[in-house]
Amino acid sequence: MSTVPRSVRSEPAGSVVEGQRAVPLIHRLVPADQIEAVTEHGQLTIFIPVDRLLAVVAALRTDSKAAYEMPVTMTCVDWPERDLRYDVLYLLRSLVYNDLVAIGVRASEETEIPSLAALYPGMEWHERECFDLFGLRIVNHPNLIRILLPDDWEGHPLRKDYVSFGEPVAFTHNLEWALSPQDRPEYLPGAVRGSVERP
Amino acid sequence: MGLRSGDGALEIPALVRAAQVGRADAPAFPGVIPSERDLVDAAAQEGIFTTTVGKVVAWGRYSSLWPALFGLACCAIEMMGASNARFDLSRFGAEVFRASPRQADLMIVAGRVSQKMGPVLRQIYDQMPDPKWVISMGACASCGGIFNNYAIIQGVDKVVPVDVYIPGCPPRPEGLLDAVIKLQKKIAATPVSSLRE
Amino acid sequence: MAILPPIKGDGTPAIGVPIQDGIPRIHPGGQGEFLDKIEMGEELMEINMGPQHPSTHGVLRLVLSLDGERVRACRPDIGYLHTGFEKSFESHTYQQCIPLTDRMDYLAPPINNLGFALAVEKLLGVEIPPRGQYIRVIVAELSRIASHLIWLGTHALDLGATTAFMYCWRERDKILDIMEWISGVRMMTSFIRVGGLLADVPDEFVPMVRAFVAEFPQRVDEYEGLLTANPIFRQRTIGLGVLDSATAISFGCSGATLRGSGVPYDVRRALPYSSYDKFEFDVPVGVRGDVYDRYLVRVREMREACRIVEQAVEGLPGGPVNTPDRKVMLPPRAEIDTSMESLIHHFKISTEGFRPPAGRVYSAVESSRGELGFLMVSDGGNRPYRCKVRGPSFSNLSALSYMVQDELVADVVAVIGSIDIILGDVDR
Repeated sequence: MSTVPRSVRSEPAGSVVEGQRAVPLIHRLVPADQIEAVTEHGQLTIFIPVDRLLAVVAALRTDSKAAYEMPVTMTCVDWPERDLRYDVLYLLRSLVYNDLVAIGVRASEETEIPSLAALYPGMEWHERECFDLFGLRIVNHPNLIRILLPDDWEGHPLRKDYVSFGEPVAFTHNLEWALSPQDRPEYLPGAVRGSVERP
Repeated sequence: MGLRSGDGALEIPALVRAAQVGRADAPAFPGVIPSERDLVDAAAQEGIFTTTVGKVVAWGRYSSLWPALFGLACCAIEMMGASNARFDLSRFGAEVFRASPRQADLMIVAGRVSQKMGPVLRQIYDQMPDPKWVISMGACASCGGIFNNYAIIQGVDKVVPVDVYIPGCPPRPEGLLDAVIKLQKKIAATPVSSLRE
Repeated sequence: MAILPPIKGDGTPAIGVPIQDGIPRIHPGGQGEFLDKIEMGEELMEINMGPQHPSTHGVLRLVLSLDGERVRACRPDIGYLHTGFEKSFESHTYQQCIPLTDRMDYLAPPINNLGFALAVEKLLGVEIPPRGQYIRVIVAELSRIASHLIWLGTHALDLGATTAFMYCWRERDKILDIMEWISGVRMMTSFIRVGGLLADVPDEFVPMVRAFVAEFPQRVDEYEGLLTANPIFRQRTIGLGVLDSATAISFGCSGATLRGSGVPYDVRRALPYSSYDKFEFDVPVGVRGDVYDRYLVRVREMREACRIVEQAVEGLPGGPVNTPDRKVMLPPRAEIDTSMESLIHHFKISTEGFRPPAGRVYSAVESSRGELGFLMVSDGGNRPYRCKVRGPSFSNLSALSYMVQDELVADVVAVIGSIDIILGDVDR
């Protein structure tokens, strides 16, 4: 067992925008009008069309100048007002160059997204989680079943239109929710009865 | 007070009743007819204790509670802390955490119970032999805690019957000790016959 | 089972046991002396391990396909602690989310708080004064030590060494005493908040931390004396659960799981946050990537964390602990009496909370398990629009099926202990 001395990182973080290394590679593979690059807080997110996803990520992984070998995470952001409601983000890290890039894909509920499990074994579980919680349609996945929720769960909880509900908090003014309708006290008219209706 | 006759046999006086002060038939000299208290003291000197079967059975049950390992989340860490050297749970007899529910009689549900875990919880409870008790440790087990959402069962008493609830997030190890003591008092107050279900 | 007859000189047994390729095909479970020579065939037994099992790592279910005692396939089944944190974040204001983050990685809650707070502070663009940063470092490193102590205690307990379990809790209780002194709570402190801390630390904090730091290295020597040179421990852990560096990286492993395989990646070094670049500490790295190396890495990490705490507490600067930005952090009580703006800020922050500008940021900290990342998306409101938590144990656990391939069933427990998972991170 050895210990590594102080200067283990090759580039000081924060002086460059993270993710710049990916840009020339992506420009070689995707036409420029289909790339959307967003830089926020020193981090670069590059949106590409779905059909180029597999090629781009494979290039990012294997290219020696980029070497994004570590799959950090894969996630999804739901913007329900849009047609392509999901921003599917893949965060990849290059340990050699100490760099992080986010590759984004805009998708709807029906868009077929290729699985990256063949490139990164670690993505397998992340894709299952996105399928479980968002209902993303991922193709060529080795084992696309629910991972966090029971197998017979209906619905995809992290969608914005999914109402997450445990039970109403019982205060003195809404205790009647626990009673059946015929047992509820008569002095409370129906409109005021309880602050939340029991689902 | 000698209860032994000449040849060493134990002699219990035929008439044993508590001495009543002021009654007409009270003995003139206290101590001639033994009071119940004196009788008990004398018997104790010979190594005889009087009690009821229910009390002895209850004492045995509450003094050697064997918890089943059911630590789920953060409360499990405080449960482990309660069984360690500083807050010693083995003082109260509940040291032996059994891995198999078949050998346990106390289930301490320590932590939040998710929807996927609910059937497992019920199965483990069913596998425990009677008599069994359940302590619901922490806010999540008692009522869902701070997680009022789709994923957490709002209180394990929706799944298993609970004897003692411990509030806290997580409760201090002393809270768990307090719950075990309360459970011991509850068991002591439970007559034997009612446990035959 | 009847006692098997001896094999005659020409290799045939006395009774008609069928022989295939010169090897007697005896029913599995027969006399031990023949089992080594038998190929067990294609029959795999599938057994279920968990979700309730004595390895105190949480509610993890493993479906193991066994060939005798050897694991041919291992499929982890997770989700038994799924709490819906990410959905809950979307319905709480940013400061209200801090107590929720405590409960994710519940062995080292302040580190979760720190990760979340840093992500939101990046969105807001606020700076924490140096005293606040140093105290954050002290609290985070103390909780890292506490988490590693639990790991060590339970890992040793799984392998049969109960003494380490008792010893480690003795130290952990001292750290929890410090946590209780500063925040009132032993575990879920919610001490590190967006914009700074709960409050400045009381005067007894520095002497308590100094006392802890003074005696902790001898304690680590005690633990190492119990285990590191122990032949039983070594025999059970050396060469087990080997994870090579390329596989570890491709699974997304981080933390000691990755460093045990020789990759020197530590977020505190690669992307320093909260003044970690001001402290001298080493990043221990293993060689073979087996269970023993990961054990050595974590024990060394405890020592390094103690070193960081020592430096931080000696160099603790004075000054405020919270950001001066009144739109984020509550103003001091005295100011509310004199300044109208402070009163309005106090009101706004207490009722609706602060509103970071719309944007997206990924911020990572080094938790005791690896890279704990928060992808925070804000739409300009007072609640996170989407907060994705990248739990290190999620990725580390996905490598388990690779690590236990062809190991004995009893060793699966050792490997799980060595990856140091916490189901709160895995299932969220």
